[in-house]
Parts: sequence; structure tokens; C-alpha cells
Amino acid sequence: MIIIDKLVAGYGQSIVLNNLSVTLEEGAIHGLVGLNGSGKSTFLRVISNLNRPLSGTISYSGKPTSRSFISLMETEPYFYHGITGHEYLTLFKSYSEIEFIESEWQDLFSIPLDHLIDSYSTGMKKKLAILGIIKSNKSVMLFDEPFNGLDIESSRIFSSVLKKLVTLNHTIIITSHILETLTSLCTKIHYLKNGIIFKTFDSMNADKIDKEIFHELDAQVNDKINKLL
Amino acid sequence: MQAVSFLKVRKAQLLHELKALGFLYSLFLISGSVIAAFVFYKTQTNTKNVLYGLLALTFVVFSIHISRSDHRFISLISEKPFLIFLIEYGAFVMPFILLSIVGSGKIWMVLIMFPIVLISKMKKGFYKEATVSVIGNYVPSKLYEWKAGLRRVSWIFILLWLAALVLVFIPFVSILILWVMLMMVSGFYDHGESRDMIEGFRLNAGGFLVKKFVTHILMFQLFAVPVLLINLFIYPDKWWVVLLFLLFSCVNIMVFISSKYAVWQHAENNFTNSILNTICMIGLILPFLLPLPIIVLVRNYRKALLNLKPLLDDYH
Repeated sequence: MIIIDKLVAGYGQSIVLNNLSVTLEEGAIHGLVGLNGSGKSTFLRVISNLNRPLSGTISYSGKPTSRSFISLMETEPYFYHGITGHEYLTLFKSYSEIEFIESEWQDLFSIPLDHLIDSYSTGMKKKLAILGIIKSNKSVMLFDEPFNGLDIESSRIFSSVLKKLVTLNHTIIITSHILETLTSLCTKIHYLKNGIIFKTFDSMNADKIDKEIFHELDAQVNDKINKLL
Repeated sequence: MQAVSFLKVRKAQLLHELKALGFLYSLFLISGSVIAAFVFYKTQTNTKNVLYGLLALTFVVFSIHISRSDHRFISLISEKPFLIFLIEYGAFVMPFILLSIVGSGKIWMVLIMFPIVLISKMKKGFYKEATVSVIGNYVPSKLYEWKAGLRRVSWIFILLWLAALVLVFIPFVSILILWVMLMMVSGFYDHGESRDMIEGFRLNAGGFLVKKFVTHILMFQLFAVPVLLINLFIYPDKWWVVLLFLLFSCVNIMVFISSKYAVWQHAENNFTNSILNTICMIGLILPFLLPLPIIVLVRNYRKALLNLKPLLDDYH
């Protein structure tokens, strides 16, 4: 389990996560939703040890979190200029005994690994970053907006890959602006608001999530739209 | 007519570049060109030297052609890009042809127009693909700076190396060429990589830097050592020059790497080190600057360790 206790994190004077506590089960897909600026990316960065918290603790299976077993795919992955997708992937060693058969993954995601990354589209770059994470095969995988830029087919394949990874006891946390994607994929969905996990929903109660999150917003926005149009 | 307008555009671009460089660098560049032209004029005394000059100029034009990045632009604006290239290269070599004729009284240098016609006809595609597949494939992926760098400078690096091997019989010229190659290598470290790529090494900060030092020095010495050994064989009494260059190149490669990681930030390129790297490199010509690379190395190694520790501390 990932146990986060009274976590406070931010940038300079600005506090983004304020006394956040949550327990995330192992071997599950956790969705993280929240409006822009609610701290979803900061939350993932703190869990993956890229941002140090101001206070609070994070532990995984009773140990402090470490980059050696947590990988993070950021919203806009960055690659090195002048190398091919295949060369990028060779930089990652697998953390498990399961062999990473590159040609099979290349076929699955339809990605030209022998081309320079500079020539890739946004979606291809995203797929390459996903393959990097899959190849590393760490116990905890964090994906920040992984579906942005992916085509329908690749999104579908990626969802199936995530479901399979969970059966292999990986713990996955995903953020997304597309609620439907999360409701069909995640075991639990956590709603981040005002720097804390405001509410956690079971996938069984997917219909309630939309109402809970957007009820207030819809009322405000509809009034404004009615005035404008 | 189109060619004339294109040359006008090029003239405006040149003036713009000189302006952007600033007065001091422009003066340096112009003085350098005048000195180069003077040296060229003075060496054009006999047919043999004219032929050497012809070879050198052909090499320079070829290097420009394969490394320029506006092939696509020229193909878009002109139906006959060959003519544009021919006019540009013709304008570039014309002062050298005139200087050679005046200096030697012979018209041999006019022969340069034959290779220039051939070079102008060369399309970017075939050697670009060759650069990606051939050059890159022989460099291990962990040396991605070299992989990408060699692709960027394309065949120039290989041609320089071949020139260093061929010209080894002229004292110190091959070592000077190795020095130019080392200067090129310093540019390989301007580009920053992603956090994941550094983590891929799964080493702590110290281990990561040491691994980089060793593998990158070996990579450069793969090119340098054959040239240095031939030098040692031909000029055994000048063994100290070979040893000095060997040490100098090792220290400077460590300087390039430590300087890069002293300021490294995820997903950012950093060109600020290039000036300091260049000053360190000048040490081979101005001996009073020789200790500088060691001072810079000590300072930047510490800074690099501090910079990488938060990222790599988890990999003990």
C-alpha cells in the first residue's frame, strides 16, 4: 500500500497540497481527477520523489518511496534530440524478469522505432514514453495525462495494457481530464480539491462521480452561458 | 535573375548575422578571414601547393554542403536548387581562385569548379539516411551525446579523422586536426537529456559521472589513439607532444561532461558552457591557460554532484 500522511507540498510560498492524507491499495489502478491547478501533477511528482514535500510522509509497503521502484510519465515527455526511438528504449533496463520484446511492442503501438524521435508526432512521442515506462517495469507506475494526444486505437490498447499490468501486481496512478476514460479503467477515483483528496469513489459508483464533481460547476457555468448566449 | 535576388538575400543574411555577433566577434571573424586569405595567397607559390589548396577548398565546400540545414528551403523556392548551390559555392571560392592565380601565376585552381558542380548536384537525402543508419549504429546508445552529435556534424568528423591520418606526415598537423575534432566534441554536450535517460543508468551521482568520464574518453580516444600512435612512430623525439595531447583531451572531455551536469535541468538545453569550454580548449595553443581545465573540472565536478544528487540519490 502507498500510505500518504499529512502531506504538505508546494512551490516557494505557494502551498499546493495541504495536509493531504490517503491510502492507495497495491495492485490497483487509481484515477486522479481535479480541475486545472488542483495539484494533480504536483501530487505525482511528490510521490515519485521529484519534488520534496514540505512536511508529511509517503511510504510504500512500509518503506520510504524511492525512484528505484516508482516511474513517472509526465504530461509532455521530453526526449533527446538526434536519437531514434529504439535507441531511447535501449537506455532502460527492465526491473523484472519478463522479457521486453521490442518488436512486438512496436507492432502493438504502431510506432516507427527506427526513425529519429525528432520526426515523431505528439502521439508517437507519448507512445514512446509509455513504452519506456513499461520496459522499466517498476512496481509503481504514475502517468500524468497519458491519453492526451493518443489516437483512439492506441488509447484502447494502452487501457488494455494497464489492466494487464494490474494483474501482475503493479500499482498504477493516472490523471486525466477525460472522466469517462478513468471510470471505465480505474478501481478507485480520487477527487483532488483544495489541496486534499476531497472524496474517493469506487468504480462501482461511477455515475455518482460526474454529479459530485460537476454539479456545482454546471450550475455556475450554465447561468453564465445563458447570460452570454 | 532569381539567382541575383537570392544572392541579395544571402548578403542581407550575412550582414544580419554579423550584426547579431556583435562588433568584437565580427572584427575577429573578419580579421580571421583576412589572415586566412593572406596565408592562402602566400602558400600558392607552386603547382604542388595549388593542388593542396584545391583539395582543402573542395573539402571545405563539401563540409558546408552536407552540414547546411537549408536544403529543403532551397528546394522549395527553386526548381533548380543545383544552380543556387553552384552560384553560392562559386561565389565562395572565387576569391581563392583569384588569389591562387595572382600568387602562383597558374590557373590550376579553376579546376575546383569540377568538384563544386558535383557537390552542388548531391542531394541531402542519401547521406542524411546514411548518417542516421551508418554513423549512429556504431555508437552505443548510452553515449547518446556522441550518437546525436556525430549525426549533427555528419561526415565532417569522419572526414577530419581521415585527414588527420593522411596528413600525419606533416609535423603536428594531424594533432591540430584532432584538436579541431575535440572542439567539435565539446558541442555534443550542449543538449540536455530527460530525467529518465539519466535514471536509466541506475547509478548514484558519483558513479554516473565516473561512468560518463570513462566511456566518453574511450570513445574519443578510439579516434585519437591511432593518429597519436602513428605520430609517436614517425616523430619519436616528440613523444611529449603526444602525451600532452592525450592528457589534454582526457581532461577536457571530463570538463565538458562535468560542466554539462553542473547546470543540467530536465528537458533543457544549455549553451552557456560553450564559452568556458572554448577557453579551456585554447590552452593547447596558449600554454598559460593549460591549468584552467583542471581548475574548471574540480569546480564543476562538485557542482555536478550536488546537482545530480537529488535525482540519483535513490540509486545507491
